Amino acid sequence: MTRRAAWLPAAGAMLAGAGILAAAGVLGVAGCAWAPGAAFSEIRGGTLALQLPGPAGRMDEAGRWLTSNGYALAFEGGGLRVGTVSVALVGTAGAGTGAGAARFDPSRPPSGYTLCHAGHCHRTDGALVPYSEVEAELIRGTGGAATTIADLVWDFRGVTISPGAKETRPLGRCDPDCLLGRGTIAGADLRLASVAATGTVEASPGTPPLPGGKRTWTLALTGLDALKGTVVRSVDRDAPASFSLDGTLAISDKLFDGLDWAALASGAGTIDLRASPGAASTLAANYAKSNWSFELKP
Amino acid sequence: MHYKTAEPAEPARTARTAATSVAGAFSAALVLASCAMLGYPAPGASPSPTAPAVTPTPDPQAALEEDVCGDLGGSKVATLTAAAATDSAPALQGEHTRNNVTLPASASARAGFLKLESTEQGEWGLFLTKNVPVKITDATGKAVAISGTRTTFAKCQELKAQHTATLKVGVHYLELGPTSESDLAIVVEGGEEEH
Repeated sequence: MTRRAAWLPAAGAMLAGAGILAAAGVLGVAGCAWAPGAAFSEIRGGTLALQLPGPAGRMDEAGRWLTSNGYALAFEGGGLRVGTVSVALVGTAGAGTGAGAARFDPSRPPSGYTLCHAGHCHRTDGALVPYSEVEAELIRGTGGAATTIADLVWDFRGVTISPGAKETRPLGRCDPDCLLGRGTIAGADLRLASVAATGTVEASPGTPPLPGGKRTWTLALTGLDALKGTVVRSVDRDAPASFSLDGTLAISDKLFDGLDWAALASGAGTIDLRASPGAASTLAANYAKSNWSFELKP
Repeated sequence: MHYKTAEPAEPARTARTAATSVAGAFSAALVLASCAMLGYPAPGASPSPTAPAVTPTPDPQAALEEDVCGDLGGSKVATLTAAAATDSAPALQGEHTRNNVTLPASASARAGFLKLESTEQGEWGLFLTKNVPVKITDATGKAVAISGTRTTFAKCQELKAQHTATLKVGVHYLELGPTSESDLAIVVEGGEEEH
């Protein structure tokens, strides 16, 4: 039997250990194992337009804004003021959550819907929801995992939106940053920080006059619900290098409909729409009819 | 030197040709007969000029009736009593609401006024479960013409009348009756609402 040197096993162990240490040192120096990876894509910019459409019949010959319940408003300072506008990109993180994951069959409406036809589904509360929105909702609702990937912020402070006009601004910033990690974008929800305006109101022909005839009013809406936007995009190694988000918020021309001006005008002085809970909830419900449309383009 | 293959004897060749011809004719006849029985055009014939369209065109009236029927059976319900005069007329609810309306006594029949607050200039539809007389006026009392009326429906048993009118933004009044009916349901659809 050949005798081996007793020191061979010990030397082997020492060499193996040295090798491991060297490898760890190389990795540590290169930083591969410890630094965060780059994102698959990012938001490179975008433009947001705000408008208050005045469709046919909504303005009278004197340029006053007509309401559905028989009153005519005039805006002081030209129109509505909003502060900052933020769009939250909502989605799920991780692989295996691709756009095909939540296809539904219109002949079997998903839970919460009764009938699907002609490109829309009837929700149990009576609303008509387009197919694309139903699908995005299914993705958002998957296991409650939908989160805000980034908030995109546009600064509209100091801007007045006049009826019929459009105001546009470029993207200001992203919070926390504009990077998009692996996952699926399922929506882009728009929030206005506030809607403010002042003006006058009087009864239209056929409506009983308000106490005092023409009265002044003031409005400051905050805490408005987000307007949900639908988009489905996979972010993975095949995603475009960057996206631009360009969109338009058309504030509903029904914003001032249904306010009980006769009751609101029963006190003296300027009518503060903020002070009446009924007025505030009517305004918020009317604002929710606004149209938010956008494109997320490579 | 080229050798020529001997030609087959004339009678055999004729018989084979004849047999082939008969077989061919018989097969052709079979094909034509089966095509005729199955209703297909014979091979080589031009396509039938009365071939049906591949996709049916969408029917907006059918979709509208289905949607209104859904509203009539839906959970959004308002209860109103029509008023004797416009100044106390209650407002019909839009947005897919079933309005259950009671008509008060008026002379020897039943009649009353309802208010319609139009949120959009354009074509509006009034859908009734009883075919009672309807007149529309604007806030100043001026008559608004009803441009169309329908009383038969393929997709909704409960519907008895559909009236269409172009309304401006603002207050309008519906005068219902005189009629012997004491109650009915109304759905209002207008402006950009999809069907």
